[in-house]
Amino acid sequence: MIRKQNTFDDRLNYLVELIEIPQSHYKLAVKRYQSLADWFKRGNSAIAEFSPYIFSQGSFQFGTVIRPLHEREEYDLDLGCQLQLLASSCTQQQLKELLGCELKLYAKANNFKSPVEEKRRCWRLNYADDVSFHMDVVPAIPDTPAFIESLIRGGIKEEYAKFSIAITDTESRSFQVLSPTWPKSNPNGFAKWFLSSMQEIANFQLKSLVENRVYATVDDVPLYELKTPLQKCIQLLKRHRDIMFRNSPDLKPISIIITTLAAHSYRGESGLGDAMNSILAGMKSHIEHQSPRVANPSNPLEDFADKWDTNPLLEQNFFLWLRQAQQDFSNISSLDLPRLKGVIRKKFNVNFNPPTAAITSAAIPSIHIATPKVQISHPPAPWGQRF
Amino acid sequence: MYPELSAVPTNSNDLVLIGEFRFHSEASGVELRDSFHIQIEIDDAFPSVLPRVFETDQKIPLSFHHMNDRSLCLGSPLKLRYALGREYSLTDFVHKCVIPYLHGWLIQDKTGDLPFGELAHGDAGILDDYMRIFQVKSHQATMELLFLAGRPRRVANRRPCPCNSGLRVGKCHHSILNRLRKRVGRLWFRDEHRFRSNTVK
Repeated sequence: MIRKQNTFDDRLNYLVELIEIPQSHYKLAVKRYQSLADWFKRGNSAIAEFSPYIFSQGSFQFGTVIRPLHEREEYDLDLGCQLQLLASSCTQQQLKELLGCELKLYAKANNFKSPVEEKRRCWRLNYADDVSFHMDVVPAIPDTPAFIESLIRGGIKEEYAKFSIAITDTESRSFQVLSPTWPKSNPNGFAKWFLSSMQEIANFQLKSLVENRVYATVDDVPLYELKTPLQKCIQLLKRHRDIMFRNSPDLKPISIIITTLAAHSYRGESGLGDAMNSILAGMKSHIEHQSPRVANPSNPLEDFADKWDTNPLLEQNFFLWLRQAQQDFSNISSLDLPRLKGVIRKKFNVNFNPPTAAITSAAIPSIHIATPKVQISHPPAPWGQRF
Repeated sequence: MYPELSAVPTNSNDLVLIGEFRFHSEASGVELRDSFHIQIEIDDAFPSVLPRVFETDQKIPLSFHHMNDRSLCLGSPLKLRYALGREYSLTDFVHKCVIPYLHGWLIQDKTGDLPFGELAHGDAGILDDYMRIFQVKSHQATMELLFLAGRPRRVANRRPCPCNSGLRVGKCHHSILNRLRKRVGRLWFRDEHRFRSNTVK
């Protein structure tokens, strides 16, 4: 049994290597958004006086980025840019335009080939060099103390609630008018919660990074420097999802739902196989029957699964994916290597040629899935409508 | 059990499985291992509606038993229902209906003989098969028994038996009808009789 779990761990660890992005991509992403931060703080910047603070959000922040399906596809780098402004002194539109002007100047100064694009909640900058990124910058301001207080009263820990921000949305009714009601978001609160769900195993890695003087303090270490079983499982699940839905991307379960449910289900296991089993077994139990179905742990008013209400196909396809993932990961633990290679090629679109004996020798008979021998008795005779 | 088969994202309530189907079968001492690429469409109303199976690599020519929608024609509806019973799993369906078809075709492809026989195309083939199942000698008697299988047992048993034995059903074909009703469900026969009455000329 121990042998089997080790084999499963080895196989999953090897599979993660195949879909993982080089660590240098994370560094490059940081370099790019730091260059943007420097631009915002330069002498004649229109926003320097509002203490611009840029942070990554989403998979680059969590350390769960995976290779795109096609080598030439772009990476999405999601950023937030928070300015010290008050909702009582500017409109969403003014904030969006203020930041937009600075981004356009930045694009011009850096000879960007494509123009800065306006999206519903962000500005998009398209980099086109050796590693293709597009950078989505979400303009934001800190949330009001009253709202943060209400989050805390609603059961959100202060250490998450305090990061709550207000963001812009061109489809918000109050986009053009001065109003205290802005759309809410809390990426940094979410990241803190995400870290807390793997705290024990992360502590060990965090301490070693600080002891080796890579970072000054534990708080300075970005999540992408860690590689916990939770992060690896999320990467594997996202890849499995990407392949399963490559022909119907509109129906695919969104990453934030997978990330949230996986973090809820993870129980601090140190082995990748155990972690995957816990996550796949636990995800369903963390989906509520009523709204919010999958609440943002840093803001319970936000339902990550809000679209399931209006489009039941999204919920249906989430469960279809989950069932398929449960089967496929169980097959990874039990198939003999030659057959496993074929299955992994189909389900993950990678060539699985593990170099180590630990993985290749996994075809021990006790874990081999055999195709059952079916005895045919009283078979129906084939018939047909064709003449 | 069949790791190469997997669900595909769906735009409806139906479940669709696609992939390579590797199987191992044995009939009358002949053992086969082979694989086909198939697509199984499982209706939202499963198990009342049987799944449809398509062979996506076209290894099996269309001249072999197919439906008009190009799904595999696995057998007559009653024979399939009888093999499966009222409650069956997808695995039961695959083992009792799909594998025998593929096994049969492979043998025919190699030897020219179909091991489990075959039915004539169209309604005649179905009625021939039902005729054998009901153990009667005419299509007319078959249609009447199909009707009676769809009636409650006590009502049907009082009727004269369609096999021309001169006995009432309760003294003649009742045990066959009861066995079929029990296994397949009376209402299935009622619907099947209505459907066949409209198609059989």
